Parts: sequence; structure tokens; C-alpha cells
Amino acid sequence: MVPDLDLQLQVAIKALTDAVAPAVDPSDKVAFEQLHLAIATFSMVRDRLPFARRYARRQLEDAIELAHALHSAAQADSTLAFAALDRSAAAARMALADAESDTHDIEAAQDKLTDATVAIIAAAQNGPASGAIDIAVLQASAQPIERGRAWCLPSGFEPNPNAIRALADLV
Amino acid sequence: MSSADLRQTPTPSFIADIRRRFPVEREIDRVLTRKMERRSGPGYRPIPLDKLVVGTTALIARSYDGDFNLQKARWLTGGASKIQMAFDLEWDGPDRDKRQVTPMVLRMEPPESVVETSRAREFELLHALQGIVPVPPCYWVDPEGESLPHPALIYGFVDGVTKPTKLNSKQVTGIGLNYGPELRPKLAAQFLEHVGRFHSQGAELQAKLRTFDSAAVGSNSSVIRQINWWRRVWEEDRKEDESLMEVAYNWLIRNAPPLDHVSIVHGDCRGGNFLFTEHDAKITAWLDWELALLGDRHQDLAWSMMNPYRHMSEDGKTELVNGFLPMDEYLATYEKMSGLSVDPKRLTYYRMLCSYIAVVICLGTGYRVAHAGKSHQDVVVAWLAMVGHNLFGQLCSTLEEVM
Repeated sequence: MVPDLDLQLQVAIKALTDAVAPAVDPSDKVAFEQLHLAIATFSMVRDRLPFARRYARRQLEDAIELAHALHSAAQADSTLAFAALDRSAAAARMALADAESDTHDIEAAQDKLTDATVAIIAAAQNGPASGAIDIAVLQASAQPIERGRAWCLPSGFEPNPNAIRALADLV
Repeated sequence: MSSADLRQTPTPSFIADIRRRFPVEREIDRVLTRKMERRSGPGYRPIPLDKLVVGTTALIARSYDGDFNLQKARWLTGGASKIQMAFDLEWDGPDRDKRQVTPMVLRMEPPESVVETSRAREFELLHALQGIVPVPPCYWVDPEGESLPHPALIYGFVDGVTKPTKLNSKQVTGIGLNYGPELRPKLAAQFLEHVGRFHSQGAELQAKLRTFDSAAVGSNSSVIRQINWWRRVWEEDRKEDESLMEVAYNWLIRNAPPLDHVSIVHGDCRGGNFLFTEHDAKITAWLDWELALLGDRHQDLAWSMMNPYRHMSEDGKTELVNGFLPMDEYLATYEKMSGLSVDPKRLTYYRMLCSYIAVVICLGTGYRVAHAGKSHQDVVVAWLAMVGHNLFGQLCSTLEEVM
């Protein structure tokens, strides 16, 4: 595909940096600040775009694993209904197996699965399995959170960026 | 219609259901309900400076019957939340006794901002804090946006900067602020002394704070109200849910401690939220009181200790909390200056609550405001949302400590 998305972002960033930025009055702080953030945003999108689908897939895989872990964690509470969670997990597996699923489809499957997961957590509160369920959620959260932090490393918000693995290693 | 769409075009029953499930302070309920009722309305459209001058003139004329003239209106940057216009007001002063020119600031909400708050509360608190800590003099408020396009207040312009002018910072907020070794000890001492001063107040000021619901020693109802405030915002604003947020919410409700002292809590207590003059390193005004409430002093300490406000010392060996001091020294200095104790258990609780609030703001509201094009700086808000993932990590590690 010519021009490809990467090239289009590359030229837009170059135009904003080389032609537009010098023409903006630095004393107009709002325009100056927003232009430079717009350039930074385009640059980040250009860098992250190749990872987007893999990122969504890994996040969904983690959500499916959590749904599975909840079954074991909830054994002490026979009142919990898992039908909706199981349906969402099955749909999520289908989204992953379907080569035609785009990033949006995968994210939508994850949203539905997370909604069903949250419903189980809420229903389990104050019941005999709530402690085990909370721990299962906590254990399953570390990896997707690190992936999110790795995705956002270019923002410069990590006080110790070396503590976060590279995005390529997490997707 | 998907649940995400429902948040973008909320029905009256959706709004009512969230209000019922998560009861909050009366004034917080008013501003959040107003936000949701206007959610499906237009996004932010650039407002010409002269339109703000007309609105500001109308607001002043509503309660000031003397001769006055607005001059030198100009935009101000800073923060990720409100629209700000600086101007000079030629008038006879608040006592109408002497012709003078007073530099002032109009602080106005965009259609939605990264924190939806009350200008009436901010106005009331700034008045109450006069003489306790340096705050800008506050003159007029338009709580419903009757004179101006949106709710606004007018306060006096105060000399000072939020970060050293020599600092080569690329960040757009106070995050990662490094004052440097010369300014740091001077500002740290004042910061903690001032925090102690407003934390010592609370019960004393409650009567003046009519838009604040009361808080009482021995009760955790004000804490529960606050957790509900942010859970409500999460339900109103988020794009997608997070399992860990449900676990965190339940833990916060189960473990909410009763107050041992009622304090004025700033709510966004950290470096970057005060002005100082560089020639004498003196704090001249505390800013951004919009999240303030009557509550537990540990909340401000925990907020100021969050990961994004820390950095390493010049020798790379010591982590400086809030860009000021090592943790133990930071807390010991606060205790010494305030005369108030720091309870480690409460501090841990509020570290959890602050992480929860910060994730709601960044990953919930940050998304919604930018998605709907509701602010004057969506690109800033969307960029700021990215810090939410670090904060989410902080929430996760704090939960690991307590569970």
C-alpha cells in the first residue's frame, strides 16, 4: 500500500515539526503547548501502531485466563452463576480464533468479558469465596498492567522506566 | 445500544440509577448530575477572548455597582482542567475607597473537565482560608454559568511560578516536577508547614463551608461518601470496566476508617499546585482547591506521595517524596510542623484511596472528556490519561500489601 500509514504519519510529523512549529508564536503558550503535544501524540501512534493488534490479543488472552481462574476461586460459593461469564469467555475465544477479527472486535470481546467478570466479583462480595476471588483478580492483573505501562512509556510518566519491560517483550 | 454509548448519551434512568447506587455530598451530586444531563450536548468550541470579556463584565456588574473597566485580557496556560483568562481590572477596590488597577484571573470550566467540580465550593473555601495559608483573594463567582458560557470564578492574580523557570520540563502538568537542590529544602519546609496549618483546621471552618457536607470524628460516613463520589465518576465516565477496580472499591468500603480528626483536605496536594517567587523561594499562593473536602489529613499526605510525584535525588541514591524529602523525613517533618500524628495504617488506607481516585480521573474521565471533545485541551487530557497505567500499577501493588 502506497502511501502506507507509517509514511503518512511520518510526513505529517515532519510537516508539523519543520514547517508549522517554527511559525507558531512561542508566546502563544496554548498553541505552542498543544502543537508539541500533537506532534508527540502522532509520534507515539506511529511507534505503537504496529503493536496494536497483538496488544489487544494479549490483553484478551489475559482476561480469558482470569475468567478461567474465577471458576476455581469460586468453588466455596455455589450460589454464583457463571453462565454469562462462560458465554463471554467462549465469544472471546472465538474472536481470538477468527483471523478476520480486527482490533476493535477483539477489544469489544474483552469489554464484554470484563463486564461479566466484574459482575461475578460484585456478586461474590461478602460471600465465602470473595477472598479467593479478590486474590485471583489481583494475581491476574499484574501482567496486563505492566503491558499498559509499557505501551505508555513514551509519555515519560514512568519515574523509573527501566523497571518496565519493553512492549515488544510483552506482546 | 452498548454500555459505552449509554455513557455518551445517558438516559434519565441511567443517571438516576447511578445517583441512587452511589450517594455523595449534595454539591458533588449537583455538579455530577449537571455533567451527565449535558453529556450528549455539544463539545467544546473555541470561545473568543472578547466573549469572555463581555461575560466577565456582566458577572462583575451583577454585584459591583461602581465604575470599572477590564483591560489587557489574555489567555493563561497551566493545569489540565480549567480555562483561564488573565486581565487587569481598573476599579475603586472592594471597599470602593480608592481608584486602582488589580490584576485578576477568570477561571472557567469547559463543557466537561478532567475533574468535574464546583466553583461555588472553591469560592467558599478560598474565602475561608484567607489568613490561614496564602491563597488568592477571591472576588466573584458564577456557579451556574449565567453570565459566562460556563461556571466560573474570578480571583486575584498572584505573583509567582509553579515550577522553576530554568527547569527544562517537557511535562504539561506538575508531574515529575524537580525543584532542584537549592529551592527544594526551602519549599519543602514551607509546603509541609502550610499543609499542617490547613489540616489543623476543619472543625473550626465547617460552619463557613455551606456547600460542604459535614464530617465527624468517630464516623466513616464522610469517607464512604468520597469513595462513592469516585465510584460514581467511574460508572459515569469510563470506556471499559476493570476487574481490579471492583476489587479495590470493595476493599475501600470494607476498610473505611472513622475520622480521628476533621481536616481541610486539599485533594490535589503536591508540588506544582502552589505558586512561589523565585527570588526569595517564598510560597505566595496555594492553587487548585477544587477537590477539597472535609476529611482525613492522611489523604493529602498519601496523594503527595504518589509515584508520579517522586524522583531521585541528584546523586541517584535517594527517592524524594513529592520531589522534596526522603519518606521518613517527609513524614517526620509534617508531624513536627503540624502537631498532628501520622498513623501508618491510615496512611496505607489513603494510599489505596488516592490510587483509586487517580485511576478514575486518568483512565475514566480522561478518556471520556477527550473522546467527547469536551475540553479546550483534549490533546493534553488524552496525554495525561497515560499516567493512569502507572497509577493502576500503584493501586495493584498497594492492594498486594493489604490483602
